[in-house]
Amino acid sequence: MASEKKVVFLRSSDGEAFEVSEEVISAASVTIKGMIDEESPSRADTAATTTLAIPNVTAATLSRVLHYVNKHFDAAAVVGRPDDYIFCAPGDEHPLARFDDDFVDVDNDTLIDLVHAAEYLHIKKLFDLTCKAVADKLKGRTIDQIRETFGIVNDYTVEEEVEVYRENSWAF
Amino acid sequence: MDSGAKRTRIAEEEQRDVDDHISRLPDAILGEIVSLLPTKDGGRTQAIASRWRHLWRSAPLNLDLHDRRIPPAQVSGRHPRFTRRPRPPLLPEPHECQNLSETSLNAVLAGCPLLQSLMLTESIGCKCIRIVSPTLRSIGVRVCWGDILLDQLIIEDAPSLERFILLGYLFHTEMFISVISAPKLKILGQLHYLQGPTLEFGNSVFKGSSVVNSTTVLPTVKVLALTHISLSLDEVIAFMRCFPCLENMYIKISTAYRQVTNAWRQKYRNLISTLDIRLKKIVLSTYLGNKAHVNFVSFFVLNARVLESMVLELDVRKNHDKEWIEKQKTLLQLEQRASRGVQFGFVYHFVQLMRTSQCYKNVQFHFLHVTV
Repeated sequence: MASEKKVVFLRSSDGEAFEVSEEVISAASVTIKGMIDEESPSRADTAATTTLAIPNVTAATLSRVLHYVNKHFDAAAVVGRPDDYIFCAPGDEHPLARFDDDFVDVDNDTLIDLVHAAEYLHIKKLFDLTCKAVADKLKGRTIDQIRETFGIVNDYTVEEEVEVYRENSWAF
Repeated sequence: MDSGAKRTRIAEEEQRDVDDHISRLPDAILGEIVSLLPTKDGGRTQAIASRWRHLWRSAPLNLDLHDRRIPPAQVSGRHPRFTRRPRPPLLPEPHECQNLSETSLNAVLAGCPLLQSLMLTESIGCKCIRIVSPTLRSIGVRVCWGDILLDQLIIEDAPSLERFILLGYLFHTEMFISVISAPKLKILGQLHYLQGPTLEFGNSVFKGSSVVNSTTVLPTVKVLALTHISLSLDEVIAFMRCFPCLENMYIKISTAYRQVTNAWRQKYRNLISTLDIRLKKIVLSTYLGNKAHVNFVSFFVLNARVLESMVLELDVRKNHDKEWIEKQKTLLQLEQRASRGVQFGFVYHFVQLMRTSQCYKNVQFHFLHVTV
């Protein structure tokens, strides 16, 4: 009873349209699923495909997001995704672990854009992955290194800074 | 506060023309990121800039008890989320804090009235832990090695506990776990055939993945994971008696133990009419298609009326062809399945020995989907 694969188009903030399987994107993004569900009564009998505007995401980011989505959610229709497994042997690695590692191995700006997009589109797995990647960039670094990496402005006065260090001496 | 100095400093920084990408993120997301950091790294982020000061304090606390240089009570005492109750007593100074005593774990639990998740790993430094927590939703235990092994874990009162997960393969077999009150427990796993601890729920007792006594029925448990078992229908039925509302079952089979035939048609003739099988999903790994496995699976194919999916992971080294799968479909009597809507999948689980590590890693996952 395989029905014809429906596709939708997603239009990025800078006007580029991307084609994606409706089933795949609905499984991945809560936000887009909501948009599709809202649209569906009006398009029930039409063969025309829907174009959804994604105003908060640029083409560069959206294409990355869709790359991730196609990789992670395309097999969603098939039962027994590895994600469903609640047990793993020691050393077992998620089959897409390497893909994920490469996916977030990008510059800070791109990574932060991905966090934003994952949050806006409500793709939990991607959000978790990208947040973890940002956390990894903060981990094990000194405060100065973190400020430098992310270009963060230190707006503490000397007195305030001393106070923060004193209060949290266990962490330094 | 010297705001003039602050402004000058900001202006200086701006001249460096570095884009502050991370500050574009809203507090909620930054808080999420901070909560992923180990305790010390997380606490340190407060010093990055004034905006970061409250982030760590409002984020979920990631308390790393494994790092013995950190006095847990001091950290949780500093964390406002955990200070609604009187601050827990301070632990000895960090350098003296070699092991975590039961008292200090209790102090941490008492000092964390919102704590939802607790992971006890390896040798945590005390022999017995008693848990009373109104908020904990998941508890994980992995005890592998160390000088002082955890012998007793007593979950005395955990009204919110939903997941109780045992991890690891080199489990401390002498360990005794007693769950006295966990009225919402939903997910239990993974029970290991040989190396599992003794697990007691009221009068029901499991040793590893065997049911010793199933007097106490636990209708809240919906998900069960068994591992390293020789696929025995008798054992699984014993579990289903204990967990009558079980919906998802995950089983990893080991071929290292004596195989049983799982012949059930005669033996369970009377049982079938009375046993209400609520299972919706079964995942078996690795399915070999031998008599024992065929019997086991066909029991559920023919009797599980609300089954929604059955996944059989195949051994990739066997390289089964289409013909083999067709033959299995016949042997499993899929035509006579009790649940018409069941999705049935044979799945290849690629396993390859990686050069970089000595352990097996799944490197590829390929689906060979069979629709009935």
